[in-house]
Amino acid sequence: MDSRILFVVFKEIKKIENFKIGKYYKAELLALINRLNTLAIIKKAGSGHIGTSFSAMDIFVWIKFFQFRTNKNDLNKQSRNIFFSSKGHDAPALYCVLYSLGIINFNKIIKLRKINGLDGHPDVTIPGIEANTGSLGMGLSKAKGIVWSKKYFKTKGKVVVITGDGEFQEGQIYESLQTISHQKLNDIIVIIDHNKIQSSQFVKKIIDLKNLKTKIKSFGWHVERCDGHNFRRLNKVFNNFSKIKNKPKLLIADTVKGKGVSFMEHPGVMKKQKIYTWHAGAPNDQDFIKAQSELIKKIKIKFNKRSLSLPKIININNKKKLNLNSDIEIH
Amino acid sequence: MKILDKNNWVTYSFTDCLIEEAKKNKNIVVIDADLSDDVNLKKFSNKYPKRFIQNGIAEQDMVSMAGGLALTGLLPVVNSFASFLTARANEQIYNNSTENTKIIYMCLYAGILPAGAGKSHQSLRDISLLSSIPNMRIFHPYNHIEAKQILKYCINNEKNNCAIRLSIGPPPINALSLPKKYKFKNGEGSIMADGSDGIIFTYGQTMVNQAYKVHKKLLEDRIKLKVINMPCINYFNLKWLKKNINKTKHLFFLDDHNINGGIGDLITSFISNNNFFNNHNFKKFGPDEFPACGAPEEVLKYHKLDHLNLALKIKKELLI
Repeated sequence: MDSRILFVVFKEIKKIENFKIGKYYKAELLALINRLNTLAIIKKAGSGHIGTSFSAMDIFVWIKFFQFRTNKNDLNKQSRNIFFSSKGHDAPALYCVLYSLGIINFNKIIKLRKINGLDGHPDVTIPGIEANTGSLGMGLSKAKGIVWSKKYFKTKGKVVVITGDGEFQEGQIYESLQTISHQKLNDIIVIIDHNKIQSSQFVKKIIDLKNLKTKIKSFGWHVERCDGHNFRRLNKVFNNFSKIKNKPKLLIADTVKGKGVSFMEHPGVMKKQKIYTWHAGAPNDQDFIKAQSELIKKIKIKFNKRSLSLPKIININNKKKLNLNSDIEIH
Repeated sequence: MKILDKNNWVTYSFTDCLIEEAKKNKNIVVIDADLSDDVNLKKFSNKYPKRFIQNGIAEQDMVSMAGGLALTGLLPVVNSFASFLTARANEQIYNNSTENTKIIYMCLYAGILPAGAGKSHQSLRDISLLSSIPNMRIFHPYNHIEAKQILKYCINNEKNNCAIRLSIGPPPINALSLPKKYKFKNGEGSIMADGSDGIIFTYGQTMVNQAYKVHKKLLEDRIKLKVINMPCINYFNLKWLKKNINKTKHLFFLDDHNINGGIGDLITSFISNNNFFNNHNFKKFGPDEFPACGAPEEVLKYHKLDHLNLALKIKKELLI
């Protein structure tokens, strides 16, 4: 059995940022690499939430690299852009994106869910993590506090929070939708990672959210909806948001749970077995190799299409460098 | 009609002090779940309207919002009834605490009195709900003077989160004064009545005055019970406590909280964990069922926490 856990290191990711290609293509490359890395750290940890990490990955990449970037040197600035997850179990993906930005270091990223490593859920002691999570539904209220403070101190910086869709079953969400709008804390942006599955089942089967858009609008919010895996659409929505000053803003991002690895994507999984099996836990060796190979293949195709030099890769089990072209066989 | 002087109410002096401190410290903001009237917070919101957040009846949202405020360096003072705040928003309080920020929680209407509103409002489980949060310090000031001192301490000196239990309503008639030149010290209590036969540890305006009545009652039998007001509920100065108890066998604890998880449990486990248990005889008093609804004396009597019942029970222990 091939026990290599493949991972792209920071130096190699940094090169992608300097490629002379369009931002959307660049975002796709970054998202692919970060999916590979997320898969790697979850496998190494032995547990972690792949499905939600993959559904949120494109949003993370878009926000952290392109829309509301926060650089390493800005982490203590009051005027920084603040982005955090309210669902929290997408932490492996967020950690990888923070690693890609040089904010989390290598020795930490390979220690997901290990002592003195990275907590399974967000923790503010980790660089770049802005808020902790717990039982769901607390993020909007926290973001509201941060927006209030930015207003009070008259400091710049966006406040963006991502939630799950199942999370909209929590009562606190509706408390906060109401108070944010009443208190006119309009500078907030909320994104729902609407991947349609909570744990292992359809949200609509557990407790249907009914007409989410109408519901949220009725609280006095500006609501948009788009494909959460389409960078052009995401860009457009954020451009629209920047023009709306009199309402708090929310995006329902339609996503696919497990996006990026064919056999983990929810529509196929649910059709075949009626239960989503990639919510939590590391894949077994066989599935892991299958998923890893698929991502490597996609990376190769994507880089080769524009004749970009392939990133060097390492095996985090023995830290040995590998060449994507000669050393890695696609299964 | 004579206007009721409320300067000696714990809640009113607390708010006055909050206003004084807010003048010096621009980071103080107050957030409220529509229970400001009971603590005269209107005075604060009139003075500092931009630093007062009315969050409506949404405790969970209020507490998490305070978490967000604290993450940016503000010092939120969060107000609601203890029973609502610490129970309904317990997860949110815990979550904020894990972020190692500092928040002050005003736990209004703490304890068994007033007992007219009934068990939904009388807060008798907030200590147990908060004391397992590692960076939480719980206080219950005895009177208006101590309330100010504790609030000042929490704002200026305490690094941890603070939960300040506040008794509402006027102080009991003929309430005992704190010792002359009293100065609050974290982890320490004050001797309200001296004695050498046993010590009763208690806190808050209701129970300290009950304990004092017990002290007086026992004097009739020439029993001298020391009464210690202990406003620090879950943090104790080892040296101070040792000094106070090492010559006394009989230690009594009177909780204005359910008997499970109150100061009695916390001090006795502190004593045994720190290995200075010295064949003491421990006896804890406090409500052990849902609090009854009624007039103050009726309710204390119902729970056998009136001074006559307490004096009888203590006498029995001392005669063993």
